[in-house]
Amino acid sequence: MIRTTLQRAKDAQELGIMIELLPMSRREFNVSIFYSDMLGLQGEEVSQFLITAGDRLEDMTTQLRKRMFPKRKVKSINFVIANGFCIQVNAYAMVRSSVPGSIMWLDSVTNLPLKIERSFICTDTGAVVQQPRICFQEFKGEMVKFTMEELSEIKKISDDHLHLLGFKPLACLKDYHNLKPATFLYPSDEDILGSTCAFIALHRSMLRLQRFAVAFYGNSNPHLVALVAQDEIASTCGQLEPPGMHMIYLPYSDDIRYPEELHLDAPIPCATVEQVKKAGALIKRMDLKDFSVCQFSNPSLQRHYGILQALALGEDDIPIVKDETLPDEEGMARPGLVRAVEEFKVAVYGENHDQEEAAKGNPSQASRKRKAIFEVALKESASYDWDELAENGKLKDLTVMELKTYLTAHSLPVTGKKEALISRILTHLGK
Amino acid sequence: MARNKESVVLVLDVGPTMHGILPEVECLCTMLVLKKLIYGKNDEVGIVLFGTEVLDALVVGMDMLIKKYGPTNKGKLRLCLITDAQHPTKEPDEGSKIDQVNTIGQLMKKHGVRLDCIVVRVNLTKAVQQNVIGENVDLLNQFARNTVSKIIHVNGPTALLGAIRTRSISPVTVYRGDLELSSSMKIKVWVYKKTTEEKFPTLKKYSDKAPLNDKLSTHEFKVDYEYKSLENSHKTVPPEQRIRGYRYGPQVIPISSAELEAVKFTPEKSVKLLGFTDASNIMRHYYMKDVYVFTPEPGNSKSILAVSSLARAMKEMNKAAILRCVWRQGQSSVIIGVLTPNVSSADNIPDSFYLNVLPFAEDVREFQFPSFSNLPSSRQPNELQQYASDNFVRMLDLAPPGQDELLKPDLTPNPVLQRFYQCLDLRWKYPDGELPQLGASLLRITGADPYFLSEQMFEIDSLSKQFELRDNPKKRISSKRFRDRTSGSNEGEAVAKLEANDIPSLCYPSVAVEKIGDSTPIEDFNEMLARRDSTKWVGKAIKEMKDYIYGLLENSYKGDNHPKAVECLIALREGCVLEQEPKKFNEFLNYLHDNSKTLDLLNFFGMLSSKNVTLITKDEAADSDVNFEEARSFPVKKESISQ
Repeated sequence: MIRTTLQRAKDAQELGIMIELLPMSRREFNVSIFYSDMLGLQGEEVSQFLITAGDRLEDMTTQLRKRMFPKRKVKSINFVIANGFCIQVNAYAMVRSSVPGSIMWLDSVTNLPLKIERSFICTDTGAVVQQPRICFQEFKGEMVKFTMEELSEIKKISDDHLHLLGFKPLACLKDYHNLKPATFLYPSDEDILGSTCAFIALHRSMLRLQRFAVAFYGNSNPHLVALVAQDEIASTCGQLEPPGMHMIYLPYSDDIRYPEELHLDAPIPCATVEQVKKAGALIKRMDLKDFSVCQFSNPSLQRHYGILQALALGEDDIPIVKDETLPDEEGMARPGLVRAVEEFKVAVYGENHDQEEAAKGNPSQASRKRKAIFEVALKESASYDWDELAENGKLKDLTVMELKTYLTAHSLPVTGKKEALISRILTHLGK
Repeated sequence: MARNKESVVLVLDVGPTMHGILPEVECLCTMLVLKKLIYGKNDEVGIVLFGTEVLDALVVGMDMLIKKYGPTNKGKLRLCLITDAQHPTKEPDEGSKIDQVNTIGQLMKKHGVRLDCIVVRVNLTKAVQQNVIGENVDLLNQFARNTVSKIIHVNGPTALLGAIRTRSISPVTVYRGDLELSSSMKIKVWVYKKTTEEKFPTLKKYSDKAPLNDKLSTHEFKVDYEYKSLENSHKTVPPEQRIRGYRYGPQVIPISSAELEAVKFTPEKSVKLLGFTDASNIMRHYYMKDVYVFTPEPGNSKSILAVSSLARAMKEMNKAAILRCVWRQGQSSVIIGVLTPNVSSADNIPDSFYLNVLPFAEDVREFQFPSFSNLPSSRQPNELQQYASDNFVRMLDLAPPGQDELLKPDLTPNPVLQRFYQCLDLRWKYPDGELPQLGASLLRITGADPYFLSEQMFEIDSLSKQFELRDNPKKRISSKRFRDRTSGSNEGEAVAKLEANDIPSLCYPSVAVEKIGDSTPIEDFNEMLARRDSTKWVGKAIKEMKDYIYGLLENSYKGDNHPKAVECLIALREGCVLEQEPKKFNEFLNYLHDNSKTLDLLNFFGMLSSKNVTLITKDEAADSDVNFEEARSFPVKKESISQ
């Protein structure tokens, strides 16, 4: 009986059917009696099983509310710590932007999917070429050619391991040192035994000394990365932050800009202690209690799903999705908060800010200039009888400047060649 | 003259103290010119070399810019100074050095010249020069107070390569308007991108169809996309007949773009404050994208004050603000972001904020991982290991106190782009040449500095002695890993050096069994039976098992192999029942019985009957023609018949 069951289980697994065992009584449950054979657990996996099974059960309950992603490693990476000292880590994508599914092109008559064919057509001869293997970059007026292989060789400046370069205090990781979502690293003994032990030791040291590691990750898009150790954070309802390291992609000097240093001519006023204090009072009043990252759902995405469902099921109404991202109007209207805002406003803007703004309402220099040009054009264009000129085909005798006065006076675009201007005028006159 | 045209004068110190680093200076300037040849064809570059005094060189550089462009110039003017500031400046004929700096500064301001100073710190030979450098840097700082200038200190060749933005991109605002603290309090801000990845250039595909000597041929391709129906692959569907389909379960729902446009989510353009929270509440790894910077509206002192006081208060209280941003009217997405203060260290730069995009609930995947403390003790570091690791982390310090931070992202160039532009230049000069390797200064980015490592040799050694790493024998080394090993560092050597102590004894190899071996015949047999990749395995397993048992019995000396043979026979019987192959077993047992005299199997059959091993009956397997009675009386009955 046992053997038959095991054989069936094995057959099922070979067909790609996953057997998930979720033991309900955690204390007395002994996996090794029967289930370890059925699930094909080996060695240390048996002892670890109960721990992970408990986690998985909690996983199921928390994940049911939203779109499920299977826990799948993105990649196994070799982490080279020093000469010849290399451990293995698995990379997981924990945070990635969700997008409204991929598009499929359909024939609107038959609603059948379409096949997209790409072809390269030589602009000189019109010949169709399968897959061009050579690329070029224009440089000093010439075409500098590279083959595809050479280009990928240029991009491959390192093997695809993760190379440790050193450690820095956490303060060196600035808020603007970011480019894309981080990747989570968790150790694995699958290929290199002892990886987990070494990883945990480094993890603890980094937490204790408040440091992050700088490493170079040489995959297809090589980057300097910061490895930030994250300690486990758990609450009664499960694990909030798993233990491991987050790999943060750092920008290069080519990627960082300094727009804040653009406008340096004006004198910079300095905030007084009083003003900073008022700002502090405002911050205290507007504190978000229990804010947690990702507490909002994406209104745009939810709306899209709503539309899709309504259309798919032939419903007439599109379900209304609440935009959770709007500020809490009720909370903002609390008298204490309103007073704090008002005090801060007076402190930095002065007493009569609103009146000053209203008085300043007169148009800016640019718009005044625009208005002046418009009026001149209006006056000048009035001196021509446009209908008659158009009727007799005499528009082409006018200069471009003269034509433009009409266009400006009627708020039409003034770009293009003379013919374009004439035809635009004719269209506008209805000829 | 184009509005974005830039004119740069590179003012380069080539004095004796700079000689060590001149190759990198050359490399940096070449890169600047190379990129201008591609991205800024109208820009102009001038060079001033000097071996003595910084101020004189700056005057010459200024003179070049002013004489050449005068008042008509509408483009940007920039002076780029690279020096180690080791040559003393002499007192001018009249006035003080400070006065002289101020005069030059006034002139620079008048003509709108920017100054970028790169001060290289190299190993000093004489202590005396420290004062000189101090004075020179003070003078340069004096410039920064009055003019649009910036001083960058670099501590090595790698940082020098990243010290100038070699490609100038004119900044564009993402948003200009109100930062709404509430409905009544608004701050006028301009939002720019702070970081954006500079991508590898996209090269055009080259067509060799046109004759080479034809000067007019473009050698380009036109990419043509054709949408064809799956059934009739000759029919092309015109663009107006195409419609987008989205998956909804197994179905695909067609939605026209007009339909989608009419009902999609369209928030109003605005940037609204939701509230403040503790900065520690927002972990660094939740930052999703490239970063924005919120600057107060230029020239608006009220905005500058408001941003400044808010930023300073947030910094003091360690708070971050949560914002909801819609940059443009008509955009269909919303951003939730975290605003963190950026308090400026310079007098003439206003305070600003950084904004990082945070994930929505849909974007976070809650994978669970085992706690480290729950892992078996063999995977936990012991005290000695932890000590070695602590020391290692402490000593491999890239930002030691009192010294410059190494490998600062702000000063680290992108090695791939650097290499590409170098290759481009070389290819242009020698079209058939080999591609160059990565230079030594760039190699410092891709792997640890050997010099730096050799200083920390003790920590590294003690770390690698403490931890025993070895290949997991359970897993066959894939060809890829093997290749990495051989081509990589001396990694393999180190692994071979290490000894295995506490490696747990491992279970069966996951390698598929193809033969019944002598050590674990029963397991091998079961494993073979269980294989499902081919039907031949059942027959093969049974045949091999029969041969094996026969071999045991044949080679037995006074029945010493009999217990093992019985075990195997039991396994064979079970296997034959499971696979519904009773005849094969029954035939074999009969065969053994027929040969029992020659093999001296009396003892063996006795053991069989004591363990109730009989022929397989009809009840156990339908194919059997042996009934229960026959089976039970098997050896006895057999004998009676034969007698």
